[in-house]
Amino acid sequence: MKEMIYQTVCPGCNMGCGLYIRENEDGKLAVDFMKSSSANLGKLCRFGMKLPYHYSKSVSMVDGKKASVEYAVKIASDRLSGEDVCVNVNVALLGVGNTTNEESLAFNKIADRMGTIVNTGMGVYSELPTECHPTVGVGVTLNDIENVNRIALFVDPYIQYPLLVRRILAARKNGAYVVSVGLRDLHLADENRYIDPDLYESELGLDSGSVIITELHPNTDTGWVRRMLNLALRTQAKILFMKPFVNAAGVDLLCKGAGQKGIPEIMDGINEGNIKTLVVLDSDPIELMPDSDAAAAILKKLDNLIVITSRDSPVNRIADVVIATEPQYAKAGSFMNVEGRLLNNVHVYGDNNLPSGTAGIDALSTLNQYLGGEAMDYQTLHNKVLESIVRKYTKPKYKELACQVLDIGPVEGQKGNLIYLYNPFMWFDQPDDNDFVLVNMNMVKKLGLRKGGMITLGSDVGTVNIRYRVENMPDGLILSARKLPVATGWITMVSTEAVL
Amino acid sequence: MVEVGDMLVGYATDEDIRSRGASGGLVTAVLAAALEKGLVENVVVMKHINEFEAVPIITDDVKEVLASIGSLHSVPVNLAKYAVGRKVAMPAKPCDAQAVIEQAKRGMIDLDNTYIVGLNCGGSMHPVTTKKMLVEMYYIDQLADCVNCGACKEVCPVCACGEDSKCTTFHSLVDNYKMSMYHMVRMLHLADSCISCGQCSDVCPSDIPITLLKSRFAIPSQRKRNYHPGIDLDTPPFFEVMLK
Repeated sequence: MKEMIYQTVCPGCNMGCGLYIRENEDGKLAVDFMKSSSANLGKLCRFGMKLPYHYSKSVSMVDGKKASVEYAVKIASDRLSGEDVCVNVNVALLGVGNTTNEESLAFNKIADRMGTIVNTGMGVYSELPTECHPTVGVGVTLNDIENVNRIALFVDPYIQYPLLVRRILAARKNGAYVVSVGLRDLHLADENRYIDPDLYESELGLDSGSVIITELHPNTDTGWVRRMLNLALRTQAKILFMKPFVNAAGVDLLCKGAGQKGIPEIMDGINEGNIKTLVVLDSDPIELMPDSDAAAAILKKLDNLIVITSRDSPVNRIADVVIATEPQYAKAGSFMNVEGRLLNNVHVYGDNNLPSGTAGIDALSTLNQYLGGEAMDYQTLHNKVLESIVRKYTKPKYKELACQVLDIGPVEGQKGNLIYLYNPFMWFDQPDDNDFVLVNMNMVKKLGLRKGGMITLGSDVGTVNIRYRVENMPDGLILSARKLPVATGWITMVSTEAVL
Repeated sequence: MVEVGDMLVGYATDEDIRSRGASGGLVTAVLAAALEKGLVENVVVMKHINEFEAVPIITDDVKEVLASIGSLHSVPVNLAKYAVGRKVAMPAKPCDAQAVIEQAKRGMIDLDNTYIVGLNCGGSMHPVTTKKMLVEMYYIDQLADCVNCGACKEVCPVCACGEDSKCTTFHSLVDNYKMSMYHMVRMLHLADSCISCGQCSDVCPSDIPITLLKSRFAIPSQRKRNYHPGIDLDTPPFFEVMLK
């Protein structure tokens, strides 16, 4: 077999970075640079460069044993048609956007057949008026960022969305003034502010020539999103919600907004016994939830856990049924990035006898037929995608929203607020060389931390000793770019002390 | 008893001084002890202003001595004048120590009242020149925007290292220097092989002019040794020759 080369999109976030994946005759993968890609000009972040480690092929399983795809699909349909399964009551479908629009659309058709919806895991959507959805769903273009006069930055681009760095630097070169309102000082900002959210409108100097860059993810506080939307509305600034997951914007448009459950809500439903069957499409709650161990324990309470996936991930090991599909880069199909751009997977070189890249769609189609629905094919689904989900940034058309922002609040004594700086490595619980937390010098002095030493963090769920890096940031905060076994949420109050 | 010419290894016994000092905190501990024990009335230390600047102060306050921990070689000051007419202890670069001797010869400094802790020195430069050099020649501000993707190594056509290379082994994300060890090592390592092709700049997600940076080291090194990378198969890489 010849080497194969696929043009695809980085699965790390919704930026839409184009790249090539090379797969040699031994199945070994390498990344190559796609310099004509509009989103990134071939440039990639740390996660993108490590993609060969990310892709791990899944294997179809039934009750812990290897099985053929056909058998796994049949058993999945049997379980979904079982007497105990009551779709409107105790079944949930989850697809956060880690696969193509075409597979997501096929998954939606199965949900329709079952009389339910696909949850994208972004519970915020169901809590926002529908007129807000276009503004939250698709932001300004990445090129537009370079031509604004002012940027209010509410994310940490270095750690969370590294391909934003060059856009912001280009904007500065073009005369933009960059104000970071984040959790630590950022080198690329003209000004780093830590101000009361009530003062954003009066202090940030935003107008119609400005852009607000913030983020939306499964654990985002709804009050925060509302506050950002209000800020855009009042100042007439454009807004861009950065998102995790390669096709987060696409699945948002394909799935029905009403009744959407967030991942934490689904996990609560399982924990309380209200959800008995969970079907996930390329979405691993163990990776997505802040506390992996707690998530795995909750998922074990399910009667049926059916996983349709292109990757080997922790949820596969506890699933009742795993339906394996081809790797994401080898799928026929499209993704929509954060600026509303539709990006296609293309097989650009290699064996002409290569499978068509529709194994995932074929499996979903068979499952739909077993459930009494119609057959689905790639081309029909693709045409439907082209017709239905093209979307551009629209100016805010909603009204002022009531909001109450989650109060991080001051901490006392030896306590600290551990905050996750979500990034692609975290969403896939993938190891990186970042076994340290960020603290400020006051905490170093207060705890008597040693140069090159460690800090102990503790909570109700555990304790961890970890290295630290000193940053300019507000008192009482501890930032982490990796999941830690002391976290119970996006923000966790922890005890702190020096390791002696 | 210690004799002149003896060489000893020393460090501060105070844990805080030892952990915050540049090399075990010995100099700070000696100066603080000289004050506390009444050996001297004053000590001369450098008060930290910012990463490029410090100002000499004469103090009898041990706290100020302890706050001065850390060395600043880029500060060109004539410390000798602070010793004039005082019973003083001070750290001194070789040039400072030479100046004290010359002042003593001219009767300006009483060597019986002057205690010098000699330091090595890699050379000093005016802080503004230092900063200008780092910003304009070594793109230090732009390097601070590095997102540690490693693409410049991956795409480099002359890099012959595998995954376990020095540039990645010595580098850790826990360090937050503006110019990381990764870039420092690569600058040196590519001095005999960089062909200035521009690929590293092309793929940099922070648009850092890495090719220019590498060339700053590589081109003069290659010229000095009359080495033209990629032109013939006969001339071995000059680092290899130097090692042999």
